[in-house]
Amino acid sequence: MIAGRKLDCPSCGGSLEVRAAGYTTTVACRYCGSVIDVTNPDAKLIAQYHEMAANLAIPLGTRGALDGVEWEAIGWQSRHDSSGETWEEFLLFNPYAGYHWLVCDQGEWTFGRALVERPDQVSAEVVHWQGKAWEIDGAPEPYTTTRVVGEFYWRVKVGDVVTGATFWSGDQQLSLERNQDEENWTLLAPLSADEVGKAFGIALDRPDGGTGPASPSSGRPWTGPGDDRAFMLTAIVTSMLAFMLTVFGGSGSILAASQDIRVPVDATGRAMTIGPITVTRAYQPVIITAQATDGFVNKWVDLDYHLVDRATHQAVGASTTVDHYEGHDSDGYWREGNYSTTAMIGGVPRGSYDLVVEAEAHTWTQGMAAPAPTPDQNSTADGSWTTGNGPAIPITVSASVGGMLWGNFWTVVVLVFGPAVILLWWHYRGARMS
Amino acid sequence: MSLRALIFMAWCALLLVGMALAAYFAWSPYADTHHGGRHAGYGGHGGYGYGAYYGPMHK
Repeated sequence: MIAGRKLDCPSCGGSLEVRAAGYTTTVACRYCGSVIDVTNPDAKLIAQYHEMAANLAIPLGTRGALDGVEWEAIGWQSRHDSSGETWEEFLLFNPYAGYHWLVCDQGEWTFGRALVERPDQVSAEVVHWQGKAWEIDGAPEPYTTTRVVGEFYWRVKVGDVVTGATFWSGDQQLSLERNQDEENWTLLAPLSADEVGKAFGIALDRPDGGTGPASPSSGRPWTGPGDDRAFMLTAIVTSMLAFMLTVFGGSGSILAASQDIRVPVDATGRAMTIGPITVTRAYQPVIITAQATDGFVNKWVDLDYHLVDRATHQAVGASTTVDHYEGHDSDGYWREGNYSTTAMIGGVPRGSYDLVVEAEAHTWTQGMAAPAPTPDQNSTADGSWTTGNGPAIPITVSASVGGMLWGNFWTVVVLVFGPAVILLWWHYRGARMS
Repeated sequence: MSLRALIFMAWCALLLVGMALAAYFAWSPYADTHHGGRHAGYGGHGGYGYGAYYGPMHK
């Protein structure tokens, strides 16, 4: 082996050794992960990171014999594809044989060497090399570098992206990696973990099949580094499906009945029936809207609804209030309340219904309800109320059948994106703290 | 595919199934439906039940 060169990491001060001095262009600090340009005499810092010290299954600097050549592990990087699947690559160096790769993908090892010649491209799916046809496995996709340790003969950094594809022939693979500057082909032949372990004198017993430095959140199975994109994609797809379910599972809202009523103020309420309200689907919501048609001040109207099935006389109810208050205090004028409210009765089975409305209006007298009136109010034949000579609040009550349950949609969006964002935050927080 | 991704996908699938059932039954957690007798003392604030507050929330 050639003599190494020692340098201090400009970021954390850790002592580093460049094993392939003269060949290596970048070194990723094994202590903090910062990437250093070693072609510069001053060891210029390219990218600064603060990751935990590496704990590689094959410690960098370890030597082992494969194919009759003694290799030294000098670099390691972790990458993932577009689906979030991660794998790890060890860069091996021998001053006479050059660079080779040891790749560990979910516990499966391959030994790779770069091809000097380019395979013949027969089609987008097939290449010819050494008399054999190699068929592509899946479509080309981006490979992203997620962690880097050690030294490399090219300028590597976290976030590097290449377009990659794998072509198979038997149990061997041709790996293609392409960026805007170059195209690299690597032949990968399978190796057993035992062969790798014996060659480098190590035990490969990581329970997750991985070999590289433990993730910053290692030991917490929720925070693997490669699933971020899969999480967000899943959340987005789920939200889109929820949107479609809301739109296509719901129905247009149809006005079924509407009636004006006059509610006597501070008087005993009376019941009034409006309808029919026909539910045509197996189940539909009934939306009841109450709108005060004239303004009023410092009063409220309690509205109790009972949706009564004409066939069974079973009823479900809902309540709402129309109110409006205003006044002056030390801060000036204030007002609150609504002249319009909506109540929803969900899960109404198919059938014909009447809506029984009970309404009571009261005056707000600084925290006290006005005294109950004498029962001199009577309902008229058309169902409206009279109030004697007292005031009344005109309200239009409308009942509609159907509609979109947007509350359900937004609930699903929150329940999908909430855990996704929390887990991603946990993951990145763990990485930063480490 | 990691364990956390599988569990998250299962969670999303569960939500979608629940939402499909809710859409069929026109059910919503935000419905104002209630059963039982007439409530009293409801004055626009404080929700259902007896003894709720009458009047504005101002001050």
